[in-house]
Amino acid sequence: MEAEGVRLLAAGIAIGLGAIGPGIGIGLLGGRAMEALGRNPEAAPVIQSNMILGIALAEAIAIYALVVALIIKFV
Amino acid sequence: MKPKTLVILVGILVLVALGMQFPTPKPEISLQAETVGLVLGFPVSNALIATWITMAILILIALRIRGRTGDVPSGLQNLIEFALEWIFSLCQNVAGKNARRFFPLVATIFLFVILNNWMGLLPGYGTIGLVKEPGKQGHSYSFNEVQLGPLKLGLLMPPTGQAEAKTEQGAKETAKADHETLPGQITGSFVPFFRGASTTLTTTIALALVAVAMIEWFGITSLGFFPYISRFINVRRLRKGNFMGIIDAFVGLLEGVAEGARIISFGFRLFGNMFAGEVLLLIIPFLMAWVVPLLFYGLELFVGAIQALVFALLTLVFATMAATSHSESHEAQH
Repeated sequence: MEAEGVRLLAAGIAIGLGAIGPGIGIGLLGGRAMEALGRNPEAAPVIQSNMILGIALAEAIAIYALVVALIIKFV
Repeated sequence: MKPKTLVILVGILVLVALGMQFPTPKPEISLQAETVGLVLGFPVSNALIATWITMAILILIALRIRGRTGDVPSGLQNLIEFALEWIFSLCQNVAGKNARRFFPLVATIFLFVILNNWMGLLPGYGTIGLVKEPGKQGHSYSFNEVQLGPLKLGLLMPPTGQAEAKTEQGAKETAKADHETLPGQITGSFVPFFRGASTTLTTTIALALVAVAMIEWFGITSLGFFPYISRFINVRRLRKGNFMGIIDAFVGLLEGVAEGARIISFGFRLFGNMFAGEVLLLIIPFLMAWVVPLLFYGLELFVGAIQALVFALLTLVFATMAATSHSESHEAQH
C-alpha cells in the first residue's frame, strides 16, 4: 500500500473508532435524561443543563479523535 | 390521502429526481481559511472578514437598542430582551450569586458564536470570491467569471443547460467531467470573500483562549491567588511530612493538565461541528442538487444554535466551578 493511502485509512479509522465510545455515552446520557424528565418534568432546566454539560464532556473524547485524525491527514 | 398532499409529495419527488440530473461543481474543501488580501502587510483571511461583519452587526444592534429603550419593548428590543433574559436566567440557575459577574462574558460568547454560525449559512458565504490562478487544473473549481469594475469575480453557480451535453459525452467521460470546463465557465483556484467564522480554527481557538483565561480570572478574583493556585500545586499535606500527600500533588497536577485540555476541547468542539456542517452542506448538493439540501440547512441552523449554547454553558459551568472553593462545594452538596 502507498504511504498516502495508509494515512487516509489511518485518519478514517482514528475518527471512526474514536466516535464509538462518545456515541454510546451520549446515547446513554440522552436516554437517562429523558427518563428523568418523564419522572419529574418540573426539573427540566436542571436536567437539561446537566445533560448538555455531560454530553459536551463525552463529546470531548470524540474531539480528541478528530484532532488526531486531522493531524494524521494534514501534518 | 388528500389530493393536495399527494400533489405536494409528487412535486417534491419530481424536484428531487430532476435535481439529480443536474451536475453541481465538485466541492473543494480547505481546512484553513484562505487569504483574500494583505492589509498593511498582514494577511486578511475570508473568515476574518466574516468575523468583522458579525462584530459590526452586533455593535450596530447594541447602539440601536441603547438609543431607544422604552418601557414597553417592541420589535428588535423585544427580541434582544427575550434573548438576554433567557441567558440571564440560565446564569442564575447555574451560578447563583455569581450570575451578575458571569453574565456579560456568557452572553457575549453566546451571541457572537450563534451569529457567526448562522451567518455562515447565508447565500454568498463561500460562493462569491476572487479568481486566483485562472486556468489551473487539478485542485480547481469551475465557476462563472464576472467582471465588476477592476475586479474579476468568480461566482459559484449551479451550471445550467449542460445536462444534455453530459449525457452525450458517454459514461467514460462523465467520470472525468468533474474537472472539465463546462460551457461558460472557467477553472482555477477560487478564494471566497466570506467564510463562516466558526469554520476556521483561528477563531475558535481565540475564543477558547479568552473563555479559559476569563475562567481562571474569575477563579483567582473570587478565591484569592494562592488559594486558587493551591488547587493545582497541592503540596500542603506533603509539606507536613505526610507521605500520602503525593496523591494530592498528583491530582493537582492532573487538574492543571485538564485546565489546559479545555482550550483544545473548547476550540475543536466548535470548529469540528461547524466545519463538518459546512462540508456536509457542500457534499449533499453534489449528491442531490434540489430540495434535499434544504433539510440539512435546517439541521445546521439547529446545530449552530446548540453549539453556541454549549460554548456559553460550558464557560458558565467552568467559571462557577473555578469560583467555588472545594470545601464550599462539599458543604453545598450536603
